[in-house]
Amino acid sequence: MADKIKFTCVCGKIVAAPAEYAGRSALCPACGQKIKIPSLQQTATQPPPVTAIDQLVTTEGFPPQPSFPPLPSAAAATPMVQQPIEPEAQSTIWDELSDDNMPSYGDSVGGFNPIAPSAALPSLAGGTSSLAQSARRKQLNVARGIMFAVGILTIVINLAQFANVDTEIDKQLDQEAAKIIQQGRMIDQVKFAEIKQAAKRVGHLIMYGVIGLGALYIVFGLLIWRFPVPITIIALTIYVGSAVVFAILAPETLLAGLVFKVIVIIALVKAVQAAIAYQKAGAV
Amino acid sequence: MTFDDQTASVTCRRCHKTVAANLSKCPYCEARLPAAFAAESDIRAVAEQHQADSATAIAITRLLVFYVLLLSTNLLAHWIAKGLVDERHPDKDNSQTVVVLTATMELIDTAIVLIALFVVPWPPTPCTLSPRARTLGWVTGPFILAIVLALNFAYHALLENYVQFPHWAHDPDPMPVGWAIVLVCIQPGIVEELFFRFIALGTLSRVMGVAAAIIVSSIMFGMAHSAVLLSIPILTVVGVGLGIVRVWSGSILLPMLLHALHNAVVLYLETVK
Repeated sequence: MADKIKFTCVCGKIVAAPAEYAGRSALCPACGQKIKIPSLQQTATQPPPVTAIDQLVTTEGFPPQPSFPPLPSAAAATPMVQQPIEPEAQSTIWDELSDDNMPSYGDSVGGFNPIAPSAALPSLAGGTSSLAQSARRKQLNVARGIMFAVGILTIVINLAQFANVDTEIDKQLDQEAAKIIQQGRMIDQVKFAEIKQAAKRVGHLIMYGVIGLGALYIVFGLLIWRFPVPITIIALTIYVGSAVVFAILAPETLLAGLVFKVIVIIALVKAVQAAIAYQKAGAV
Repeated sequence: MTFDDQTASVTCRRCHKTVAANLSKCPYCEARLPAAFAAESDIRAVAEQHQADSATAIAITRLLVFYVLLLSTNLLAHWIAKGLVDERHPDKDNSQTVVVLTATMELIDTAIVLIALFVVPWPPTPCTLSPRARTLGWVTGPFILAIVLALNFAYHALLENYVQFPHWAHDPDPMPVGWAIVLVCIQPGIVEELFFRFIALGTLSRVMGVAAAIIVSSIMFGMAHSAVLLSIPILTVVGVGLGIVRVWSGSILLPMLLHALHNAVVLYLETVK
């Protein structure tokens, strides 16, 4: 194997190339991405990727590897030249090197699924093209949709209710006042008016805050791909925290739209988990 | 891992910039580079990585569960307090009831945080500073507290100016001073710092940068004060200040002291007013 350079593509596929091609770039036979073939020194100083499966494999007994056509003299003389391999040569190189000629894990361990370890463990290796990553992306997209929906709904509903805030506050305070009068106590009308005004201003502030929160959710939706973990955790924290705040202000709101709230919370929890895995897999 | 200078470069598959081949992450966009994947081709390493990832996910999930528990206690305390206020006579001194209720709820909060300390995996210290730099963190702590207090008072002054809440309508049942020091300054100083700056900030820094972890833990801290709705924004800022102190000093003791001091100053000024 001295005339071959064995290395791992970014997709996780272990490939080999003739030593003459060191330092040049070619397309990976598995993922089609342009990859640079490392030099022999690199592969010599860097221990080859030894896997548990590798330890079970003996290299003896494999059919002899075919020899490769000699490179043009100029390239052979300067193996480190940073120039891509000609397109027509690409297929020749990889055809001669790729799976058919490489000792596959499947051949050596008798019926074992002949795929590279990283491909066999998509959720562990977490390549960008893996099924696991795709599922996580889907989950984050769902969370993104939910953030937009929550944001838009919050803004629309609260803008619609804004005009009624004063009337609602008046109504509630009048009810409180009626209760106090029923108990036989007096109400100072001047102080009562002062309280009403202050309560209305607090009500306005809360409405502004909630509308701002709706806008914040839209911003979260826009930023989720840039900061998936912080955004999903913040969105979940604020959503649950807001539910508690509204339940403090008006306990009946806790049960209002309960199914929707549960769906949103479950989706955000799943999004947090997906974001952590997605980020760990390095595709962010 | 050493690389020949001539070939020590790879093209990042995401940003397409040329970077050193022995790096595991692209310095421009942080995408993983071939070196990272080569390392992961070792199944054992991948399995260990997976185990570490699972531990992180479990830690985050448990953190969020305990956070929701704290919020629930808050909600419960508020409902009970509201019920008691409705029933109590306005002319009677209810400070005793307030103390009992607050103490009970804070005992429950303390129990939740103590259980969280055992259940949530012990987080790493979110501080990579040298001992000398940490000393500087201790020195800057009081200045950060001063800034945070100034912002707090400015925010509340603006708020009061807008709302113009009548002064005579403030809480008629203040706690006795001794109890107020214990329940408003000391207990929150210790328990909230243990949860938000020690457990939350440490656990969050396992999955995000320290700055992001400070912001997220501060938002959690702010939202946990749902009983003082209008103060949530400024309490989030207070959380950021305490988070910075935690990271710069590398110690949980300093944020605890500053938190208690912050609450004491606020309590004193409110009492004087």
